[in-house]
Amino acid sequence: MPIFDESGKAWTVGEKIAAGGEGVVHRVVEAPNFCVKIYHTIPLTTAKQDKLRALRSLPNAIRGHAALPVSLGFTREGDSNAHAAFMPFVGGHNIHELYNPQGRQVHFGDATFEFLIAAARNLAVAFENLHAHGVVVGDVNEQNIKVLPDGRLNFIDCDSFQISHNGRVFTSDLGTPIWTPPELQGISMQGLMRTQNHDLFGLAQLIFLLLFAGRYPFAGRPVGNTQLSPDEAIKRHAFAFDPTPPVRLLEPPPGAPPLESLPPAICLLFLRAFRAASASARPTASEWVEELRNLASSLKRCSALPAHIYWSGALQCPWCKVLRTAHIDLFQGIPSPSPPQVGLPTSQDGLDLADALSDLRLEARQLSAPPQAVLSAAVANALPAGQKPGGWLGNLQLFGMRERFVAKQIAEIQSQLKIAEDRLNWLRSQAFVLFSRYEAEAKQLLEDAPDLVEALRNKSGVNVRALEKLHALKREQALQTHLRNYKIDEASIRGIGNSRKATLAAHGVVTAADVHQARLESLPSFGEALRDRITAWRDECERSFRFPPFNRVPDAERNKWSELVQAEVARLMTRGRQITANVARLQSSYANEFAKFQNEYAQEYTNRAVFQAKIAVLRT
Amino acid sequence: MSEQTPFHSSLSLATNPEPRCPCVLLLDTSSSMSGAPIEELNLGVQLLMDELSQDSLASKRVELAVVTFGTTVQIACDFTPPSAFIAPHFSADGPTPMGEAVLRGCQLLEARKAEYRQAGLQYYRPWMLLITDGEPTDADSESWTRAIKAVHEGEAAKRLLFFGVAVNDANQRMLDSLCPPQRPSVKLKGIHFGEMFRWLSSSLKGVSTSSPGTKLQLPSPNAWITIET
Repeated sequence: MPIFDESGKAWTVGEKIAAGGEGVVHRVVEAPNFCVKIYHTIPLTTAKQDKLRALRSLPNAIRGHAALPVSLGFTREGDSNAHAAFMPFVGGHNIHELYNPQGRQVHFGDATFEFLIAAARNLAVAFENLHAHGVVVGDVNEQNIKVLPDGRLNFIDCDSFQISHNGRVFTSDLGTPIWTPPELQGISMQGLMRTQNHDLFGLAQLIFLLLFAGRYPFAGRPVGNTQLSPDEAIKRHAFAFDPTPPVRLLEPPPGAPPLESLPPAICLLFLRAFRAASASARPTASEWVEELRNLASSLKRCSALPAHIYWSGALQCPWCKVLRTAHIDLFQGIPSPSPPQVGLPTSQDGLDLADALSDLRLEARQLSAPPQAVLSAAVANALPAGQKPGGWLGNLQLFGMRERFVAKQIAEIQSQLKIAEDRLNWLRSQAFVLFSRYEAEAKQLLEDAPDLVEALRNKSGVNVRALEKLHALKREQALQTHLRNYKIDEASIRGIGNSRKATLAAHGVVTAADVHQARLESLPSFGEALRDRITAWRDECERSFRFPPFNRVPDAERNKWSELVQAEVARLMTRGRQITANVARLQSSYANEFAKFQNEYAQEYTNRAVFQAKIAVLRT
Repeated sequence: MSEQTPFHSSLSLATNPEPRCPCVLLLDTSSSMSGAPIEELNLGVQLLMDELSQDSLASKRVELAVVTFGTTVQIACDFTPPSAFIAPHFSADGPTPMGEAVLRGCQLLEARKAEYRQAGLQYYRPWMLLITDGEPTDADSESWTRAIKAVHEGEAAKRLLFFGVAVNDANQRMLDSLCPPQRPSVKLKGIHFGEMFRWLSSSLKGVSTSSPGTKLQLPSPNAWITIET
């Protein structure tokens, strides 16, 4: 069913993106930058509709900080009773996913302390703008502020803002205990007039959470037997990090950076925000903007762990201190200029190497004849022009001895020719032996190259497929772990009493993970019916197994996987390069040895040519 | 004898400083639960985990522990965030040592609260939900009277929220003597554990986001309880 805006245009309700106490928020199909909130109360009260209209008419300057409604929504064209409101769609993640270290790791990857300061400052800027236009946020909490990947923030659920319009005040009516300032604890929010000073409690707490790795200002180790609920702690101003509280109720929690790791100006702002006197004058948004800007320009990088960034005036790196004392590294990521793209490492090098490896083999070399020019020169050298070999024999012609001499000469040269010929044959066979020897060695070196090539092509080639494979592997591992929790010993399977359980255990079938058809079949005295029941029990155990399908694996997890894949590719490449280098070394020593044969071969070949030439001349 | 403590617990307390809402499920796994009820219960617990895991804030705040009572009282699972929870498979057998189960649940809670305090974490009022289809077989023992005392005192001091859920032919009179007077037990419609756990999930999600100055608003349980007329 479409929803009509105030101009009468119809819009299609899309996918549901959030649900709350007041209504459900959907995407708008035709306008991806907008969403529509459909309220549970239909139609809305006149007061609520008036408030939405008042919010819609707030100055544009606020719109960059808050997703204010743009139009009311109606079930029918021209209806006067609204049941919905259109507002800009805001992406990003709830602010608690940024300040909570676990959430930060999942959703903001390598966000550094610098990023957190920038986000805190942007938050203060947003409050500054809203307050400048007389808006009171009222229901400040961790679920209605969205942080974009670049550190800018936006308020959502703005229909809970407290605004005054044409002399009429629309109250917020909402609030949650852990975000309520001490002076309002326990008071009903319905119709309550809130002030900007109330907002400033929420702002200070959000900034504290951002700068102190998700630690709540009012959470600490209780001193003595005091047990404070979260709201009591706020009500009693139990700021755990206060260096000089009037009464110490809470010690700072272990594993949190100390207050003095931040500049004194900022510490003073926190004390003003959280101490008892705060009810009258908490630090304003502008004060925070100013001091956070100062902090951002006085940071330094830890010399031991470069991912640790902290205020340059601190005595030591607070994150290293947390690491030493609580064994957790709150900033593990190595800041990189460009954040890694989700899930898809590209590794052309890996593919190139795979191609090179698959082509890698020891090429047999063939002994080759020296160039014709070399041969001619050698012949010419042995038989100077115009001179017949044994020319002096001409004198013997008369004596009728020439024929005999020539025949003898030819026979002599022919025997030399035979030796040369034999030598050439021997060289050819030796070259073959040499190649065989080297080829055997190369085969050994290249033994696991085909596997490596396949692995490289799988892992660095089609990356999504590699991740899918990893997902399947992880799923299988998780399934095995899951199945190991089900002990046959504790299972009740019809027909499997204690003695059969003992038999199973003796054959290594202890948990559901050990149940395999083949293994069961090898057991004596277990008929088909029993085997089927055991298998059915195993399948039953598997039914409670849950593992997110590949497309629902969180980006951070995929990134982690992709890093695993990349690391694996790197490892494969190192091995691949080793093989290539070893084969290259082999190639060159083969070439050296072959060269000696080739020289000899060429020499012998030349000799043969000369002998043949001599014989030819003698025969003329 | 000292108990083993899982290594992850202290680590997750340090990397996730959100205030915690501990919840203990006390599940009757006596022989009368066998068959369909225990299977539905298994599916229900898994559903609870899935629902909670999908809420990014609740999954950082809610921690669940499961104690079963049948042949013995067993800690099927110590406090775990929903995302890390591996649902144990329950099978039904033996009597119904309910009083002992309640005491074991209280012990677990006290231990976990001590860990929270040590780690400097805040926590909300813990929840304890007991599901049974019978009556305590340890009602004559000291455990039963101590269990009643623990529940009533905990409720009075706002240190505990106790819910009793009766299934099928459960002895609701006995169960009510355990439940806090202001919150008598409720009777499950058939074996609709799914609806009940869905209600528990949305109630737990609501704990940290309720309005101050108002009574804790729980979603309506009408989808899963039988109202006696």
